[in-house]
Amino acid sequence: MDKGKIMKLRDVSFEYLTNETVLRDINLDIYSGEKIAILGANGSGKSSLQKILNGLIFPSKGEYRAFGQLVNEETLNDEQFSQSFRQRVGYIFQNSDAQLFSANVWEEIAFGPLQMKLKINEVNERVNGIIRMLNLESLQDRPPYKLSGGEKKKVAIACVLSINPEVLILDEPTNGLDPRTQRWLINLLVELNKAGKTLITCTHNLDIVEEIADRVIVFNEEHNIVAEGSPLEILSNKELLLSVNLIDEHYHRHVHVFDPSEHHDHFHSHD
Amino acid sequence: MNSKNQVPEWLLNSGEMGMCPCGCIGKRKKVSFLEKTINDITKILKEVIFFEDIAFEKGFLQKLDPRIKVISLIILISTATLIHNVLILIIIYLLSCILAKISCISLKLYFKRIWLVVPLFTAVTVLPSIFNYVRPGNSLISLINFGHELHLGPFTFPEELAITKQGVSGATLLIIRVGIAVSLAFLFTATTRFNNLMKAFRVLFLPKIFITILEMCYRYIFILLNITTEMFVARKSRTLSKIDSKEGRRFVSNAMGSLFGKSYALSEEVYGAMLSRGYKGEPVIMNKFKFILFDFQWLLAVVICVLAAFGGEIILG
Repeated sequence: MDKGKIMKLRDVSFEYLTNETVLRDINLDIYSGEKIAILGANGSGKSSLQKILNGLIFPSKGEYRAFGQLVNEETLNDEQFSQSFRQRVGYIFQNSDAQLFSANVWEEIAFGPLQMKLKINEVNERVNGIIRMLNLESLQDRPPYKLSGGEKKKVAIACVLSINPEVLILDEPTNGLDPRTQRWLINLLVELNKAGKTLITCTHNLDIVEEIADRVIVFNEEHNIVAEGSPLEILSNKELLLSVNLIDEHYHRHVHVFDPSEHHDHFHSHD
Repeated sequence: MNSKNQVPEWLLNSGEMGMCPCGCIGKRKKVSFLEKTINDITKILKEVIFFEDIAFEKGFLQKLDPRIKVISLIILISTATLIHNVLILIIIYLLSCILAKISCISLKLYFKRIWLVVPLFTAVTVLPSIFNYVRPGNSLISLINFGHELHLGPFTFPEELAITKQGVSGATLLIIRVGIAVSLAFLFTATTRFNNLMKAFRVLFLPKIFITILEMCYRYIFILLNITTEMFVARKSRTLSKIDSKEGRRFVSNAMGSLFGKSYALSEEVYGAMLSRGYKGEPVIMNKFKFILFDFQWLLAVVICVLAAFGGEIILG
């Protein structure tokens, strides 16, 4: 697996309003093909970081480079760079309703490829391929208001995958999903990562971190990154998780380990 | 940390207010505006979904290409507004009823939707024109005879106020024309899915951005209606006694403000989602429409009908 550095944040700060810092002096490197999870309490700045990584908002201070190029308002105005950046980085929003703005599922999945100005048969091929892969055949003509929460999430993922991005940014992907759909999603993410996609996931669901990450970064409530390490290191550091207000003292873990060789492990641990 | 310590005492006691101990059910209240609003929103949603379902049926008009439908709708409406012969207009209307029937629209709905509303509004508009004071002509019914000419400021009116033959026939013609035009528009829009209809408007050279915005409006109306319902239901669940009208107005205006705030936040997120998927200010849209033989046969039939209607008009006068 290529371990090239694809995203680089240097001293990045961000504020929506003056003196209301959302991110403070963030330094972060993201490598191609890795799975990275961002942990932090509500309001610690995780979502803003993801939006910066997706070029939707821009650092108030510091610089963000992706694929060797500076990403800011100016460079994203360059049509060629913007197209290649948007094609390489996909963002799955927490609120699927914001993401599903087209009239039906088929058009939703076709939106990305159409904006990329692919040929009509190529668009057809991509959309139908994704629909087959995620078993969305029965939903393809449905308007978004006739979809359940889990179906919306599936379609949101489908419409990002149809662009075939290298990097997938996911904001709280398992929120509001039933356990079965959560499991489906995690397995899909693991598969996508094996196929070489870089995953950047924000989550509060600590039980899934081990599966969706091989590196974890932790935000504190002062909007700084306070720790970085392997999932095991971070999750076993109860003191750290307590100090960033992510858990309470009675926290315990449930882990559902899936192994294709049909060997399952479930464990439940108390300290 | 013991969370129980932070719970105020009164919250730990239950049954502060509840059913009357004697078991009476109290006075019946009139349905409040909260309930009415919730019911109305549900009704709108049901209706929209009902019409979407008609568009999904496998009827005659549903099979047509939406672009052909837009073109034939324009042709048919302009024919209906140009024809003067009431008989021919009635034949056109009867044909539209057959179309409605074979397109899975119940005739009851087809009549009710149009003829309960259209004559009312059109009648009010054309009412003055049936009198000889507005439109002089041969008297049909004499209403008042003043015996002398009336002078009102600079205006002079004839001595007799009457309903004229020309006035009545003109008004009837107008009501029938409007009724047919609205019926045809209803027939074609009810059998076409909203987004397909919007895309079909491209044949009228409507700009893409306009179509995209309309489509998105239609999509997000559902979400905003759901948010509104939730706000009203939440208020209802906390309503213990009758809300006076001042409080009611305050709640509705707060709800409006809050809905605006929410839709603004949502619009920003949606725009972000569009940008993230490569939107560059000029939407690329695609339609999967395809003309088939059936579309051409239909268009030919429409043209023949139109020619027959104008021919009939010339023959019948």
